[in-house]
Parts: sequence; C-alpha cells; structure tokens
Amino acid sequence: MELEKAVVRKARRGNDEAFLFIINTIKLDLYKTAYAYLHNREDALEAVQEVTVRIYQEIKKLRKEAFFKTWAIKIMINYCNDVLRKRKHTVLNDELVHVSGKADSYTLLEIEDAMNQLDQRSREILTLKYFHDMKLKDIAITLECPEGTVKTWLNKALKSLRKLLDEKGGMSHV
Amino acid sequence: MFEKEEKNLIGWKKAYDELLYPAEDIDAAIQAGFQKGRQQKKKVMRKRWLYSSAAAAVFFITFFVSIRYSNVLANYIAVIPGMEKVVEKIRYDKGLLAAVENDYVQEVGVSQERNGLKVNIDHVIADEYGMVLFYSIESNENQTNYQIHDLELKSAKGKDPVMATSGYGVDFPSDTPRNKVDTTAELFFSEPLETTDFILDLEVGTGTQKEQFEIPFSLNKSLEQKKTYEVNKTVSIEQQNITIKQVEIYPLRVAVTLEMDESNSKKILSFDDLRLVDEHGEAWTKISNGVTANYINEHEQILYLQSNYFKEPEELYIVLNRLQAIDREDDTVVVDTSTEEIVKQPKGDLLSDLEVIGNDVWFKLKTEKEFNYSLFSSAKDANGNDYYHGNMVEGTVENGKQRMGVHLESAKVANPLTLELSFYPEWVRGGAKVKVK
Repeated sequence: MELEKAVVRKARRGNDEAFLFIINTIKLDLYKTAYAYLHNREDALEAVQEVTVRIYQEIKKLRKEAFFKTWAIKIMINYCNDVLRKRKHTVLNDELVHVSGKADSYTLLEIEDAMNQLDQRSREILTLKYFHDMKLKDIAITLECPEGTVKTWLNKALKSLRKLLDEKGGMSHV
Repeated sequence: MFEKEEKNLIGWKKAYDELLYPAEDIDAAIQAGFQKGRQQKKKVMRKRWLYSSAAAAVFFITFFVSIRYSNVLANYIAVIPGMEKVVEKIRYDKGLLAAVENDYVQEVGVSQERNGLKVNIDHVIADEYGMVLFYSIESNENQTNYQIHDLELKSAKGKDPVMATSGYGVDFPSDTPRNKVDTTAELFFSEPLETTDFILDLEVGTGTQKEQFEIPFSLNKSLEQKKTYEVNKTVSIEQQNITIKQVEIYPLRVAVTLEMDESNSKKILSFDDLRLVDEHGEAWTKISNGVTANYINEHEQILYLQSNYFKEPEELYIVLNRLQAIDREDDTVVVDTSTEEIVKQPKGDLLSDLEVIGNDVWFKLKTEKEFNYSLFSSAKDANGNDYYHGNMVEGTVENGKQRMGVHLESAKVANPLTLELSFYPEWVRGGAKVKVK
C-alpha cells in the first residue's frame, strides 16, 4: 500500500511512467465496471479510453492517494451514467447469457435488469460494495461523506433492489 | 436482513469474474487514453484555419503578454460595455487595439437561438478586405466542449464576399464546464466588400448537440480605404535577394508584397523579423496570432504586419533582419507512415521519433526554444493526393524536443508521404532598411 501511495504521488506530480503503472493496476476494474454498466465490448473499451484521459487530466486533484482505485472507479461510474443518459434504449448483455445462468435465486439477466432500473446513487453504492468488494469506510472517504450516510444509502439500495427483483420474480419465484 | 439480495449480488459479480476479457484491446484503450491525455495537457488556443489560397499562419500566442493600455483605451474600456472582452481578445495586436482606441469598432448586438444554443455577434472591426468578428456562444447547460464548423460569411444581397482566409474556433475543451464562451473569427477577402449587409452561417456543436445558424447583421459605420505605397527596392541578406514591391496599409493589417530572386540558393520560408518603423523608432511587427502570409507564387508573397493605419507618421521604413531559409533541395520531408520512418529530411536531422496515432502524424523537433510555427504546408502521397488541410496538432517540449504533427484527412495514404516545409528552424541573418515614405 505504501509503495502504491508513493507511485500515485509521482503520477500526481506528472510522472508519466508512474501514471501508466498505476492505471495498469486498475485496468480490469475499469473495464469490468464499464462492461457491467454499458453491456457491450465496444462501448466499454471506449469508456476505458475516455476515462483514462480524464484520470490523466484530473489526477492532480486526487487528494487521498491511498484511494486512487475507488476514486478512478467513481470517475468511470460518472462517465457510464452520462453515456446511459444519452442512450435511447437499454442494451442486453448477451455474453452474460452464456455464463452459468443463475446467481442464487434470480437469473443474471434479471439482476442486470434490476440494476439498470435502480437510481444512480443506489447502483453506484452496490457496484462499489459488491462488484468491487469495497469497505463502507473506504466508500465513505471517496464519496466524502460520513460512513453512516453510506450505510443508509446501501440499505436503501438493497431495499430498492429487493423490490425490483420481487416484481420480476413475483411469478416464477414464489 | 438482505441476505438474499447480497447473495444474488455476489453471484452476479462472480459471473463477471468468469467472463473472458479482451486484454489486448483494454491495453490499447489505456494507451490511447494516455496519449490523448498527454496531447491535451497543454491547452493552448487552437483555431482551425482554412486556406482558399496558400497561406501561412502562426498558431500560438503567448498568453501572458502584458500590454500597457493607453489612457484613451483604458477610458474607452471603462465607458463602453463589452469593450473589455474585445480588448482582451486582441491585446496582442497593437493595430487592432488602435482601431478600438479610434472608435473604429462597430457594435452589432444580434443573436439567434436554436434549441437552447445561442450565438451572439457582439462587435466587428472591419475594413474593405477583412473582418474580425467578436461573438459568443451560450448554452442552457454547462458544457466543456464547444466546436464551431463551417463558418461562412454571405452577403444579404448581391455578391458574396470572396474569402481569402478565414480562421475561427474556440479554446480547447476545458476542465471547467461553462455556459458561455467568447471567441473571434478572422475573415479576409481577396476582393473588396461590396455590401454592408451580411449573413453569418455557422454550425455550433457541443458534446451532445449540433445546430445550424444563419444570422443576419449589418455594418453601420463606413469602412476606411487602404493607403498604398509603391516601393520596388531590392535588398540582399547572405546573398539572398529580396525585392520589397509594395506596402498597403489597411485598418486591420499591413500587407507587404515581397519578391524573392529566382537565383537565390535558398528557399526563404519566413521573414521572422520584418517590421515597419516610423521616424520615432516605433515599430509594427508581424501578426502574432493568425494569418502571417499569403503566397502568390513560388517567388512572391504577401506578408502581414500589425497595422499603423491610425497613426500618420512623417517617415516610414521597412526593417528586416532574420529570415527562416533552407537550401532549395531540402524543402521537403519524406516519411513512410506504415513503418513510421523518416525517409528524407533537411540536413542536420532535427526531426525524429515519427509516430502515427490515428490520423495524426507526430514528430519530435529538436529545438532549444519552442518553435511556434506550422512545419508543413502540404502532405502529398505517392499518388499526388494532398491529405493535409492546415489542421495541425501540437504538443509539449520535453528535453529539448518539441512534439508536433499534422492531422491528415485520411490515414489510408499511398506511401511515401511528402510533406512540404512551410517553416523550419534554420535562419539567415543580416540587416536591411528600406524607405517606404
């Protein structure tokens, strides 16, 4: 962690090699986040490129070096939300159809669909917490709000998700 | 409490972990993003220049020039609303500042709105052969990216102005979203204007929107006539003969027509230090941001200086010292874009590190000081097609090397590609003074 912090600090000061090093440590996280939001390869790759530009330009402003990854993923989520706002219709993730099929009691596509319908804040919290296994404390620091607030958001998000899933599974999962 | 939902989310994440990821494509996207970020790092004003005839332009202005405004100008700024913005845009051109000082600016104040985007034409400085338009773009929403395309000046009645050069654009996309940008367009004509009623056509784009505008506007002040001096005197600098044929003084700029001797051993690329000087030693130098020259033919060109129209000097001289020049056989650079190799370049090998990124061909130029000129005037492939339309890209100076390049209209060229040099950091030096009046 300390080593990573030192490299992030170098990157912040404009060292390009340090930047490439740290961006490479999180490239899969960036891609996966984009893919989970946008559901297709081309858009996810474009997102990775554009977000790399943004991270490069904004890194000077990163205040907490230890939280580079969370901060970068947050930028990716913002980017994806912008793209989704401009998109006219939802895109189904057809690759996911071919994987195992079910996540516990619901199909993956049902979960995806529910995630799509969530409000931005809820989706962001669930993505950070479950998709990236982040601690609530770290999320709170990155979003610059008290941990209690994050907990409240998380509860609200899970509640919304339950409601959306219940609507879907109402028939087949009774 | 939410065990079931949590289980489902964990299962969902696992499914993503099992997917195969396009590792190479991701690496390429990261690289491309990194390169793009680096190129945008240095945010300088970049305008798109269109050439209807061969012309040269300086693409860079020093942002932190301090100019002491005269008392007249300071008063003018204070009493006339909006004048501060005008002066801000032309502070690097003493001729245009003098036009403002002499109340030669025209207020226009017309605007047009299309779906939440608005264009306002605020002020104009015009003469018979040119026009500087001061306009702004407003959006309902904050935007980081404003683009202007296809800006054209039409006549509201009668013959359209014949465009010689036009330059327009907005600052680079900036970090801070803005709902208004102020900018300028500089239009020059090859024939005198025949009307005072115009229509400005342009397309404005933001990241998400594109709108067409056709804005009618009129000039209400009469346009001043040019003053012409026939000179026809020849000077010699390092055995290169140059004839100063004619000096025309317009309110917007001064045009000096020069002819190079066909037997000169060098091709003169640029008159870096050519000035008008009056009897008190006051000097008017070259245009520092915009069109600096027009090429009539291989041996003849028109050079543009900041205007002294609003001064009436007793005596007037042209002084020239330093010229950018290269040996005739060295006037092109030949490259292969497929292998990223420089096949031929002028003696001294100042160019290196050829890199092709998308449609951009990048070089590194060895230079001690930043070299703020567009290197090339054309890029012809093996079939003789010119892929360069004056759109150049420019990067940073690192370790004595400056990154700069050209944007090609297509990346599919038949190699080799021959780039004609328009500027190059090699000089001949000497002094000459010629009386104009």
